[in-house]
Amino acid sequence: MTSDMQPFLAEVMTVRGGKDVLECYQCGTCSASCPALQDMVHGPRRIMYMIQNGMEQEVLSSPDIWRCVSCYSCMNRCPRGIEITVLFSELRRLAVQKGYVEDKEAQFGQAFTVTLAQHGRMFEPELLTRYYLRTLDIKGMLGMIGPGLKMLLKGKVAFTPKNITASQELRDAGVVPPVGSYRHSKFSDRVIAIMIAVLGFFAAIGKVFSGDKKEALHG
Amino acid sequence: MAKTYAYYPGCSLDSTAKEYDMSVRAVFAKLDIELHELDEWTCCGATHSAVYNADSRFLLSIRNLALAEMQGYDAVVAPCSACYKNLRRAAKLAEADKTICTRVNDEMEEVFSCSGKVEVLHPLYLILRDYGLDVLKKRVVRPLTGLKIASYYGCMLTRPMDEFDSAERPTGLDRLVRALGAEPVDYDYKAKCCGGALALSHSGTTARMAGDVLASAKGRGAEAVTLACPMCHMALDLYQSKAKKIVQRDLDLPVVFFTQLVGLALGLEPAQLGLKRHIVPTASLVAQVGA
Repeated sequence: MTSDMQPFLAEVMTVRGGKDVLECYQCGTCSASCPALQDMVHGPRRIMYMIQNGMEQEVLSSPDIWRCVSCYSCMNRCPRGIEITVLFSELRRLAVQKGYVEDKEAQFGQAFTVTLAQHGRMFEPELLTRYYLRTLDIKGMLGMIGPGLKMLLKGKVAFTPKNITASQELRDAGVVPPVGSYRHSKFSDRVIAIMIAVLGFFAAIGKVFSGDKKEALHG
Repeated sequence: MAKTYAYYPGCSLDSTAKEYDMSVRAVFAKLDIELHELDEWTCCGATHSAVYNADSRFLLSIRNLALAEMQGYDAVVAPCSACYKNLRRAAKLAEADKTICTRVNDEMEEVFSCSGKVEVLHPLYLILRDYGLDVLKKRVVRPLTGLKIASYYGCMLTRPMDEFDSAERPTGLDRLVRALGAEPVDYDYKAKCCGGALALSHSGTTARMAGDVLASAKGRGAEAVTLACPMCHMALDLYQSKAKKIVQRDLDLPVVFFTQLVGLALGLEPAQLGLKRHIVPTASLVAQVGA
């Protein structure tokens, strides 16, 4: 490794999945295998080439890294053994860390980790609320009302979060972000607190009225 | 001595895929395999936690494995294919990379021997490898004769690559479907991703990919789809009406978890298996097997 290596290439070579990036000989098996290629601008093959050429700005601001569906098809098939899927997830982290992106999937990832940090497990109503508070994606939110109601009627929505005692431990160990990161604002925390209280209220009412008949409803 | 299995439901089986949880518990109880829910398990980190820390999902997964080891289990059974893949990858990583293992031991309360003592298993592979299809066949009291089932593997079930089944041409679910008396349908998209990872942020992508899978199965005459992942289920069941508009053809395919099919064949009641919790109704399927 020479000292005149492009700084971005050198950086990528230190992250998970990045060490073999120079092995890529542009065969294109990755892009040919990618089920999300049609929603990308460059595709994984060209992203690899851009990394080899140190094109930080172009790589980290490209929508491609947020369109990856993490299916591992490219990585399984790569004849050079490059961990492309793992690397894509690291490119996402770098893009967030360096402030390159505002992709909706970037917002989703951050809403997910904040929710995870709160409870140690996922709590979907909170995840969705945090996500829509971050993106203010009214159109997307309206689109989710139909599916959301269907899920509610089929008993697919949890009303109360399950708090795992380890969640503080996870924060201390740096596994999940500390309170206050990712625009984890007091406002959204207040909205979440109200939502959890309201859902808890409905869950309690539901229990009183349905009693043991609940499963019969679904049976 | 018989193996002791810890049950790791994962977050989805507690909410959006409750019927998967119900059917896993009912089927394994019926097969006399004891599953004990792991105490204090946490989320596996999915793919999204990597946005904060590249190692989050491995640390979270190793913590869960440490819990299983401390609670005295030989194996962890994870029905969500995405959790399964995360846990299994983490177990492999812990064997290869002792530093990540030491981090769990240094920074968290749980202590992990990092010896690979705890095995990670998907319930499908538990049935195929440990229980055996020949034994299962003998327990079938309600054969699914005549049902044309498309097995959908998606991506995570065969990751890490080729451990229990081929990533390119998997056969496990098809063999199971046949053992239950149904007719497996061969189709192009059985091992192609459903796009479930982007279901909220880029739902159009998910609906398109789910639509391709469903149209491919329908085109080969499938009457229902079976699968082993709550994310795939959401994409194929909840997003089916959206997918229909994109691929512009009739889909109307009930999408059931493989444990629900096994349960039906073992004579369990549809209610026990949560078969009315689906978005696309499963009534036609249930009627066809005479349950």
